[in-house]
Amino acid sequence: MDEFNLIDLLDSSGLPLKNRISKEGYYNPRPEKAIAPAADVLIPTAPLEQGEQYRFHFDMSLCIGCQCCVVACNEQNNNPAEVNWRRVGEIEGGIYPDTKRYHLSMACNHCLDPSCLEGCPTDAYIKLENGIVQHQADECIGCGYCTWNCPYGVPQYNTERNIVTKCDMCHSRLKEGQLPACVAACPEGAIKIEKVNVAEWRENHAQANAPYVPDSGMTLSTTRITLPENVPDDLLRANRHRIEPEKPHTSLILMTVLTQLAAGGFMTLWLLEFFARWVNFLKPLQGFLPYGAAGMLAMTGLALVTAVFHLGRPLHAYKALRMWKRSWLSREVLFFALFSKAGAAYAGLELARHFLGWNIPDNAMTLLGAAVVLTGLAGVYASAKIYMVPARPAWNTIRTPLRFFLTGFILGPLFALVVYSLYGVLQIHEPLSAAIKGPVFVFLAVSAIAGFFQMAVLLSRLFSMPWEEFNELHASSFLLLHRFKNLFVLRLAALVLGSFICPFALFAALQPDALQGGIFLGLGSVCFLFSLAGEFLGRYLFFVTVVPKNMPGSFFAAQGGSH
Amino acid sequence: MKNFLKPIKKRLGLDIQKDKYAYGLDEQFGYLSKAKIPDRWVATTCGYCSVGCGMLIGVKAGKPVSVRGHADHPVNEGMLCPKGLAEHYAITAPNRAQWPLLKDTKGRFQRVTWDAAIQTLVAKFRAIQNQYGPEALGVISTGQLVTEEFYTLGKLVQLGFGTKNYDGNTTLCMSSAVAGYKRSFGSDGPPGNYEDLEKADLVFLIGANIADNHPILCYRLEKNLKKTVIVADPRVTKTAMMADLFLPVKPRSDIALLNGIMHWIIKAGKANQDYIQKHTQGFAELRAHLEKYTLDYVSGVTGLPVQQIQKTAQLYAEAKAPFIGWTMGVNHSTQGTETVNTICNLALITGNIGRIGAAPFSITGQCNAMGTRESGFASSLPGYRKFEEAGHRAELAQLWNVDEEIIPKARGLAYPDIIEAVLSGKIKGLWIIATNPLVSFPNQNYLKEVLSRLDFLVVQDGYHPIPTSEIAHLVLPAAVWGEKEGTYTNSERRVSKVNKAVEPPGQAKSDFDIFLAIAEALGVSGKLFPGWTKPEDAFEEWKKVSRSRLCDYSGMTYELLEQIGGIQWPYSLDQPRDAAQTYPLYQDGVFQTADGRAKLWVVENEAPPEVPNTEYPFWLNTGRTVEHWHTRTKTGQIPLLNRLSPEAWVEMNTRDALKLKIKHGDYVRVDSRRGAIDRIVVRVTETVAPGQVFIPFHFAEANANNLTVNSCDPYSREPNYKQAAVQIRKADSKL
Repeated sequence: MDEFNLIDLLDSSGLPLKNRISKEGYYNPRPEKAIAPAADVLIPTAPLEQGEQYRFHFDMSLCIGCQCCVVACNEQNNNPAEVNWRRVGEIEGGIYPDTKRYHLSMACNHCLDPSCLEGCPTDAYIKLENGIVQHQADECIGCGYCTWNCPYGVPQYNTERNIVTKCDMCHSRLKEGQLPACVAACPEGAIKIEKVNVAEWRENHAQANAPYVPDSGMTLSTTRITLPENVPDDLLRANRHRIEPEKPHTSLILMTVLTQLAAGGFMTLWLLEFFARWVNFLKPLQGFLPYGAAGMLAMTGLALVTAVFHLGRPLHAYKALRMWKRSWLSREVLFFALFSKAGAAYAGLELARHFLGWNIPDNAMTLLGAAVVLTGLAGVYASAKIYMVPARPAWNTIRTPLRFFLTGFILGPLFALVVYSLYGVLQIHEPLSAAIKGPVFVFLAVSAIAGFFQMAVLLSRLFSMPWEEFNELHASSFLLLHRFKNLFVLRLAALVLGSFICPFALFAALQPDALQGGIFLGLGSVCFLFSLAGEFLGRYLFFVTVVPKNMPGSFFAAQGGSH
Repeated sequence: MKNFLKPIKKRLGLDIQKDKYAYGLDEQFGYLSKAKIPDRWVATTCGYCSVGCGMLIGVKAGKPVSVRGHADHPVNEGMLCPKGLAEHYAITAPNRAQWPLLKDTKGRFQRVTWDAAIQTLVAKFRAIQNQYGPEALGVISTGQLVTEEFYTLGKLVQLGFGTKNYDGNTTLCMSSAVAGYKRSFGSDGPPGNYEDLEKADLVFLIGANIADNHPILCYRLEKNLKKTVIVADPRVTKTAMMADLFLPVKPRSDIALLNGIMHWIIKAGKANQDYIQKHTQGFAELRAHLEKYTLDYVSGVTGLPVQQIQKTAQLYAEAKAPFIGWTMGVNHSTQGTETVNTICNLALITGNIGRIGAAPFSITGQCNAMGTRESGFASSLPGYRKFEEAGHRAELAQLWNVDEEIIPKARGLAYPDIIEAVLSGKIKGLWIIATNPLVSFPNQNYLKEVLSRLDFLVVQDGYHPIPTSEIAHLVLPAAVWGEKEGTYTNSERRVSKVNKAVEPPGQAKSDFDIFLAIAEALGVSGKLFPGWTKPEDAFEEWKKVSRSRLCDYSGMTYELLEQIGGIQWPYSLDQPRDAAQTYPLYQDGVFQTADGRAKLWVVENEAPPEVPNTEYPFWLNTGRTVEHWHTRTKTGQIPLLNRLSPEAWVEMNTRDALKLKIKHGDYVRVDSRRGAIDRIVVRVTETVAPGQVFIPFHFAEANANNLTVNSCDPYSREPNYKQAAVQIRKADSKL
């Protein structure tokens, strides 16, 4: 009753509040200033002092799971039903009738080390002086990288806007002394805003932990959670059955596989060109190199155009370069931009040398080639680093860069082989001479070795997973071995076919002198296509079977993130 | 061109909908989404449950864009539950009924004019009544209309159409509380107030899951710092988890528990002999009857340890102002009325009634179930008058200026009996108003068979298509909450104003206007509703009719209701009091019986109509979830609420699941002797006891009422929703 009386007393117009309904039944608003004092117990009234920031306090012993905060938040922000800045999870333990079901209402944790902010390639996130982590819609390009970085699943992609959005603690309300919507809506007073001393919290943030809530050490979550007494130790998440696949991100499957193909391919060409100067059996390659380089360039271009359409706001893609000092996503964009330029120069000069007879010294080409290869490999590494985020344990392993590089070393040589066989058919009259065998052997051998390692990496993932510490890893291998069992078998089969069986057949077919160009081209393409299919499938599985860290959900909520 | 460019602009990220997601300053509520800042706020009362929260509907350009709790309302002080917070979407829902629809000979709905619809209704019903007698028409209404509409409808049906076979879906909900109060106190009328939750030192909730069903009562309860909360429920509900002492009773053992508590209190000499002497009758019989309800015996029936029963009895006996609240766990039973009597017994023998904090209090279901109890003309005559009392009939005849003989001398058929009368061919025409029996009635297969036998079925509802409207011959589109004016009475007898914020969609009309139009076509409007044009006309007459009755409205005016934000009855012209004051009934210990004494009833704990056996080994319990309202005609159309709770589920104990090799998240089939749910997801949980399962009843697609028993309480005719026997096996296939 106290709050209520307080409003009564502070009514500036001096009217008894009960008389505020007009004859027509319309409510006469009271001055908005009167709202603030009522909020005393739920939000701090004194301003922040040096070294302090705002944070949420959630009292799990009070929450009854009524979902008022969720609905109030969506109403406050006009969010569609699919976007919930505040969510209520359920965990349960105990034995009937000593059963405890706890509800965990969580919004943004306004972390001290916000990973959303750190990963953002465009600096769309700012940590305000009062500690609120704010997202600026105008700066966002809709890459969704923050949704991968946050271990709590806080930033959410809004398909209506093509950007990510998130809780800002009702910043504009708070600074005017108005209650944030969730705080105001809670009938139990379970959600409050508090001040926290940043330095002290950095030292000890244990109170941000709760059962099944990702460890506060990852990002230094500031939300203080009051746990009930005597929490049973057999707690289970209500949504433990809802292990759902993540989105496949088709444009990213294409983009990553093709950039890796191009990087691996350029590297193959560059090495071959270098060695062909001295190694006899590689000599037949020399006329092919300009075609090969052009092929790799085409793949690079295709990859980068596709990548742009991963963004919610493709026309704002250029902004992704901004944060290269901090964000691996920016770095990836930067490296691949340089890679494509260098690749274009390399391919262009090779073509000019071949067709226009420009006289460019071999060493200059080797140097330029080295630049292409280095930027390409750096790009692939940056790509891999993007995925190596603590919030996605299945990605956050050394296997990710290994897989990415190996994809490049499998597909690069095979694509070169396809271009080479095409070149062979078009440029060399049949029957093809046995001399082409040398380069073909090299292409196939490199790819097969890479394929062997790729297989080893894949299987090592399987064998290692069940013993690793994170739940999400179990869930991830569960998805792979159950929900996606058939695709996984197909993926392995494609790898075996593309890396071992078809190459063997091709090499066998190359033995007689009367080699038909068609068979050469055909078998070369089959090797490539099997491998390509294998890597695409592998990448698809990579995306869908990652089970992100998240807050525990309600019975009907999927464990995964929203993007 | 613009439309053509729109999706392209969006895909390229040139349009991030900045306007839609902008914020602005609302004078009343501070910063919020600009799109939600209305041109004006219209004060009203929530249209979902009987808590009766004060609300404001934000109206922008004639459309409802937001709702907020009314900070000045005495019930909720600005708080709302999640349904309330999203209630404006119930007005703009895509499934609103908009046009009168008549089925053609091929069974397809065709739009007709209102004139034609009403002429058809009157002609068909009159033809049925002419051929089969006046009682061949049945009317089933609701707890959703405003009191003015209930009052009007009652007169229209009983005096205009001349059939007494008129009842509401309230019989599926709180009629046991009504019948129980009548038997114990001589009249309906919950004696307590919500303020009791704040002031009681002991709050004893029996079969009431207020955390899911009445969350704003939790808000009131939370203000009580000295409370001890005891909850009795077979299921560990959210409310049970709030309790200081939780009593996990076996299904249908609450009477034994209460008898055991009384046994201990009497033996311990803690009964209030003074109160018993002065204000009750039947104590000697009760005491003799309670002899056998020893703690050991009760422990056997309830499954509770002796210490828990004793502790409960002691806490209750020693509390200064103990409150007992109950809802459907008590009412939804073939012994519902008697359970209410047992609760009242306990309050009476300890004198815990008529004081702030101390009350046996029925927490009602629908927003205006109370309104129809008071002013309706179904289970009693308006103003809690009795059909059987000639004096009451004469009084009404005089007030209405009608021949006394046309006022029925006995109650007509109750809802389940109307359905049975359709089966036996006694009722041929049925008019269903604002209720959806094809989800809510027990034993759906039985009901479907019965309703198909009707000559003419009229469904009057704000929503179409809904399961019941689909089988209607005639659909009348009604205005809903937010589109019409009147009053609701909440559980604590508080009458609050309901206001019109927006126009109804299409040709939908308020139920009040529909009733007046039917009266006109029937030729009774001059006699029954002289000069009536607006709900206030009905309110004014109702005030006169209620004057000097227990539910006395005579001192109220619409204006005063708006000012106070809700006034408790009795609020009489004859005995002025502070309108804002909380008013417990029976403060003087004088009850509405002939001798003014409350009656103590002897009640035996009996088995429910169906118990598990080897073929159907599980007890089925049904109930609600916080996100949904009744049959989801409203909340099923609200995307956020639906997202939070998208489908039905069955709660099953871990040990049972293990035995049946069913995993959390599996789909199962549930069968009872009457029907089945083909596919429903399992929630493996320790909130239900081994051998028991729970299914929420909101979902037409996986309808718990395919399984429930349609046996009814002999006094209240309320069905036994809470116990049935079912079997469970894995669903045939995963969809």
